[in-house]
Formats: sequence, structure tokens, C-alpha cells
Amino acid sequence: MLRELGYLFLIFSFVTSLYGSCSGFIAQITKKRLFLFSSRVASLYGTFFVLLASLVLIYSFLNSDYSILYVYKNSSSDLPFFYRVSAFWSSLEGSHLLWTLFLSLCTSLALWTFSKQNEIFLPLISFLLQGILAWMFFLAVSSSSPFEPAFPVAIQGLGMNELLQNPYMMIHPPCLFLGYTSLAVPFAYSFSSIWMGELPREMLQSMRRWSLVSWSFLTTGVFLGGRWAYVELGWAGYWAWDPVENSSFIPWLFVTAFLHVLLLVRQHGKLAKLLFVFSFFSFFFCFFGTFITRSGMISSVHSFAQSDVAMSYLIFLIGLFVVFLVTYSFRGNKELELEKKSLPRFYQIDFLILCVLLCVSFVVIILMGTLYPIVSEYFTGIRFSVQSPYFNSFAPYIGFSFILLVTLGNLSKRRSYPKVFSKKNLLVLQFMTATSAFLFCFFGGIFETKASYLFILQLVGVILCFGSFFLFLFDFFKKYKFSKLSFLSFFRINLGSFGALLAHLGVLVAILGFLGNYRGLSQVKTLERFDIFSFYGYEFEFKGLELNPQDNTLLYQAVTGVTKDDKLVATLYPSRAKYPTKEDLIHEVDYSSTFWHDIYLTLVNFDQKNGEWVTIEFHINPTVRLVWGSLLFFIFGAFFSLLGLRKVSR
Amino acid sequence: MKRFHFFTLLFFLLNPFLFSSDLEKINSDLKRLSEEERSLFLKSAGTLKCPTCSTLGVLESDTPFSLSIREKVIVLIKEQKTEKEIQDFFVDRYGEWLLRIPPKEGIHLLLWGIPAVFIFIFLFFCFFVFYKSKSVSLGEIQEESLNEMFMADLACFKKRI
Repeated sequence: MLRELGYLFLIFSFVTSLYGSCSGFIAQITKKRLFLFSSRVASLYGTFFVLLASLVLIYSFLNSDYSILYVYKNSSSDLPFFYRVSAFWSSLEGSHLLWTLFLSLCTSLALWTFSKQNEIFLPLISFLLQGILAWMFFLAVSSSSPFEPAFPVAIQGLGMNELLQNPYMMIHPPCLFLGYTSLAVPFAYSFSSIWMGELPREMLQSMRRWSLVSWSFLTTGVFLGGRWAYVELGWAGYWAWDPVENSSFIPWLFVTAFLHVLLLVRQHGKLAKLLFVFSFFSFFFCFFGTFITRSGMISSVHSFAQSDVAMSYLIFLIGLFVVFLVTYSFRGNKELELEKKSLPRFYQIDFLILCVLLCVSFVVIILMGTLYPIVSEYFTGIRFSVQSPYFNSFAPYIGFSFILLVTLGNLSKRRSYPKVFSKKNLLVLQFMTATSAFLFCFFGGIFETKASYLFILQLVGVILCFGSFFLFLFDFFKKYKFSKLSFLSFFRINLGSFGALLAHLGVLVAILGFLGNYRGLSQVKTLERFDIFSFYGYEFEFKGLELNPQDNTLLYQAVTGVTKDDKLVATLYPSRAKYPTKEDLIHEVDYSSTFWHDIYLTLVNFDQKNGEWVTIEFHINPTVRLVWGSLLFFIFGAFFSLLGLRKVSR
Repeated sequence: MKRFHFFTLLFFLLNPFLFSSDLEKINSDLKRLSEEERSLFLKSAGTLKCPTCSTLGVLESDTPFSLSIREKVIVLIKEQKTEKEIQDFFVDRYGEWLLRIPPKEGIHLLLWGIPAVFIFIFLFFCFFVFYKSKSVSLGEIQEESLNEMFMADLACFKKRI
């Protein structure tokens, strides 16, 4: 009964969004407000129904209603409460529904919270967004329905994929999907702007607001995904250039470039048409990534579910690209109107353009590596998947170029403000950079751990990072000093700039974290009970094997005391987990973090009869904490930038 | 088929009882190698894919297949084989796909060629920017106009527009 109701809600949503899209189109042609109003109301109804459908699915999961095939395949009654909720998006059909729900929410929000100047664009925005939604709903009721019946009804479900039973998997997919879906709004804005041939300042603000929201969700999603890999997969790394990782990184690069193009357009009235190109590609690659990984075209660790939905995706992608090409070729030649501001021209603009260009080059490299199995199969008949060494042969240099451009961009101000960037100040900056770089390498253990890239390259990177870090701080501080405002009022006026400062510092902190060589040191050792193993200044003592039930699992835990200079640092429990739905034992790593490095243990093997011996893989991972810490910079950066925007629009 | 492939991969990745002794044996074998031989091992094994994983290399994966490849590399090193000979041995046996990066020849050059075009465009723009900024020397800009520029920039910070 509930199953049919959920399905019915999805059909309602499909009909309302189809109607909303059509009435948006009619509103655009007839210029009648009534059609626009009904289109906007339709979006609300669509959201309401898809929300109900999602609630039905969650309710079915909580009640273990195995008459629904999706619930039967992805849940079992032994699952703890929170995992029963997150089982909702643990496979393809549910993820699709969640994505659709978020897109629907974003659409309604975009159509009901607009500013007066943007009203003329609304019909086209509504037409496009609800059109995309209608297609998503069509998939949800046809080839990707989460409400397919299961017959005969089983008394127990197959269970959720064990690797997904992790707290990070409860947050990572929703964050990523929110990032993906909110990218649709800037795309719709720029689409309508290029069709109408107008670009008011208010629209730039709206685009910036939406893309900032999207950027922060995408960043959080990507980071949490990395964190999941780090704590769940047990290989002591967080990024392997897997096709799915790549396909979430490409939209992130595009939206980052888009934010900077927005800055160029807003301040200098230049390159307005690039907004359309970048917003399109950031949106396009969200679907493209889903298509290549779910279609089975490229195998990936993340292909938890593959289905026939691929062909529909391909048709949609081709359609989307045709829309882009048609729009650009018919309307692209029209000059977008934008009042120009007479701001002084700085060389920073050139550096900004170079950074955007570098982003595009990076995307091409990642895309080439990701799609190479298909390319090589076409030419040679052999699927040749390219792995991390290919990406890593470019990534450090691209990263360095970014830091270099950012540093030079900041230094270029020196031409404009010779007094501020006096020799004395520059000397102080150089001193601070050299000292911090040395301290970082010394305490971060960079001299001690094996270097996977050239050591010199690592050192140059660290120096550049710190140089840029202090330049950013110095620039902001100088502006505060010269403005002669009180700190509070300066801060209040420049909330946006402060946000940008934080986000850029975040990038530098993250790069410092990457430079710390995340794979660090590792050793495998078999220990008898009470054996002691010394590694990297720590002493590890295996105290015994414990058997502990936790939620729906049974954990085989190797209790390991970690001491340094006879002081207990931590007691770690690297484990193997036995899930009721799986024969094999799953890794449950344990780690202890200091500011400079992580002590990360994986249980490789153990004596199942008496628990007398264990084989443990010991890892020392330097500066990983900086990588996770940079996320805080990003989130607060985006938060302050958004607050700053609110102030501007007032 | 794909699903089968994925679960086989998971099975090998997660089953601990098949390989732990091998892993320790390999590690102790490695310790017995000279410094040069060990770096040759890291170099040669570093170019090979784990056949049952999707993104990991032989050195990063502990699956039985990867471990047997590691063992074989050690044997070949003991037989005084060079890096090229070791690579050729595995390519002959399993095919080119076992390499983590395809050889830089024939159609595989596309993999470097296309990014190179974009990097070239990027470098061209870099050159353009630096050349342009060099051509405007500080002497041409009056001290007053410099101050004006600074004040205008500051004005943005004093009052957001």
C-alpha cells in the first residue's frame, strides 16, 4: 500500500514539474504573469510530493518493509537506526531520488526567493530547472524507481553494503548531491541571461550566492569522501584518483573557476559570456560523472550499483550539450550589457585569468586520464585504465603553479603600492616564510619520512605555500591599517574579503597537508602477546585480542598500547569486523592523531583460535591533520563570503 | 559481469587469511636485498597495477595476486634482471594493461599530447602576461597616480560598493 503511494507521489511530481516547465515556457512567450505564477506554484507542489515520496521510502526503511525491492536489497533488520536512514542513498535508485529531492528544493528556493531585478528572467529559469526536474522524475518512475515491488516478500533483507556503514557515508553523499544540485541554479541564471541578452548586477549577486553555497557543499562532500576512504578502506590514504573521485573533483574545479570569473565580470565588466560556459560545464560534469561511473563504462570502486539508467543519462547529456551549443551559437554573439565600473586596473586580473586557465588545463588532464579506458579501447581494442602515477605526474606541478600564480598575483601589487611593499616589509615576510617552512619540515617529519616526490620539489612547495600564506595575511592587515577604521567596522564592511582570505588560506593549508607526504612510513609486524615493537620513536605493545559486539557487528580487536618515552600516548584497537550479512571480515582501522602526524594501525591477520598473535600494519602519516583542518577554513570562508553578500544586497 | 568483478575484488581485498604470511615473507625478503636492489624493486613494482583492484598498484594492494607479483619481482631482481627486463617479463605474460601508465608510444601519446596542448596555451598566456607587465615599468607611472590607485583600492575596502 505504502509502496504504491510513494510511486503515486513520484508520478504527481513528474506531472507537476512537466506542467511547471511548460507554463514557464508559455510565460516567456506570452509575457503573462499568471503563467509564471502557476509555474512557480507547480514547483512547490513538485517539491511537496517528492518530499512525501522520500518520507515514504525512509519510513519503509525504518519499518523494514521488504515488499519494496530497494529496501530488501539495501537493508536488514539488524542495522542500527541511523544506517537504516542512510540506506536510503546507499544504492542507485535511492541516490537518484535524493538528488531529485534536492534539485526540487533548490528549484523552489530559486523561484521563490528572487530579487525584483531578476524577475524578468524567472520564466526561462523555471522552464529550464523544471524541465531538468521532469526528466529526473521520469527516470524515477521508469528505469530508476525505488518503489519496485519484491515478490515473494522476504522476512529478512540482504543488508547494506558493509563499507557504507560508516558515519561519514551518512553525510558525504547528501553534501555532494546538494553541491551538484545547487549548481543547476547558476546555470539556469546564466542561460536565461544569455537568451535575454541582459546581465544586471543583481543577477551576478544571485549567481555568486548560489555558487558559493554549491562550492561549500561540494568541498565538504569531497573532503568527507576522502575522510571515509581514510578511516574505512584501511590503505592509509584518502585520494586515489578513482573515476568517481575525479568526477566529483571536476565540477569542483569548474565552480571554483566560475567564482573567479564572476569576480572578473563583477569588477571589470569583462568576459561575461564565460559565465555561461563555466556554469554549464560545472553542471554538465555532475551528470557526466554519474553517467560514466554508473553506466559501467569505466569500472570504479564506487560503482556500488550499475543499472540500465545509463542510456537515459547519455540521451540527456547529449540533449544538454545541444542546448548549450544552440544557445551559444544563436545568442553568444550578442553583447551582454553590463555597466562598467571605473576601478583601477591591477595586474592581479591577469593572474586571475591565468588561474582560471590552469583550472581548465587541470580538468583536461583529469578528464583524459579518467576517460582513457574508452579512448584506448576505441583505438587499440584494449581497455587501458590509467592510475594515480599519471595524475601524480601532473598534479604537483599544477599545484605549484597555483601557489606561484597566487603569490605573484599578490606581489604584483607591489608595482601599485611601493610604499606598502617596502623593502623592510618584504624582508620581514621572507624571514617569516623561511622560519615557518623550516619549522614545518622539522616538526612535520618531512626530513625523516620517505619522499614519494623529489624532496626539493616538496621543499620548494612548502616555502611557496608559507610565502603566499603570509602575503595574504599581510595584504589584509595593511588594508586594515591604512583604512583607519576600527577593527570591528573594517571587519563588518569586509566580511566578503575576509571569507575569501580564509578560503585561500584553506587551499594553502590543504596543499601543505598534501606536501607532508601522506603515505608516510609503514611497516608490517607480527606480534605475540606483550611483544613490543619500536617504530618512529613510539613503542607499540600488543596487549591481547578482545571480542566485542558493537551495534550489528562483532569486533575482533587487537588492543595495542602506544607509548613514547614511557608515557602512554594512546591505546588503539585495530579490528576486523564480522557483519551478520557477510562471510568475510571487514577492516576497522584505528588511529591516534597528534598535530603533526597520525599513528594509523590496520589489523592484517590474527590468531583466530587463541588470540595469541596478531599481524599489524603500522603507518605514520605526517600532516594529514592539516588536510582535514583546511576544511574548516573552507567552510568558514564560504560562510563569511555569504554573510558579506547579504550585506551587499541590503 | 561488472558486479562479479567488483565482488571478486572486494573478496580479495578484505579476506585476511589468504596472504598475511606472504606479506611478512616479502617484507623480510626485501630487508635482505641491498639498498640498490630495493630501490629497483620499488621502481619496477611501482609501475605495475594490482590486477584485481581498480585504482591501486601492486605496492599499495595486499591482494594475493599483487603479493605474488611482488614476490616474482624480488625473484627477478635476484636473477640480476634490469628494470626494463622485469617490465617486459610482466608485459609479455599479462599484456600492456598491467602497466599503471601506458608506454609513451603510438596512440598512447594522446594521453600526454592533449594536456600538453592546454599547458602550452597556458604557458603562452603566462608569457604574454609577464611580457606585458614587464613592458610597463614603474617609471612610467607617476607617484601620484600610484597613490590614487592605492586609495581607490582602499576605498573599496572602506566602503563596499
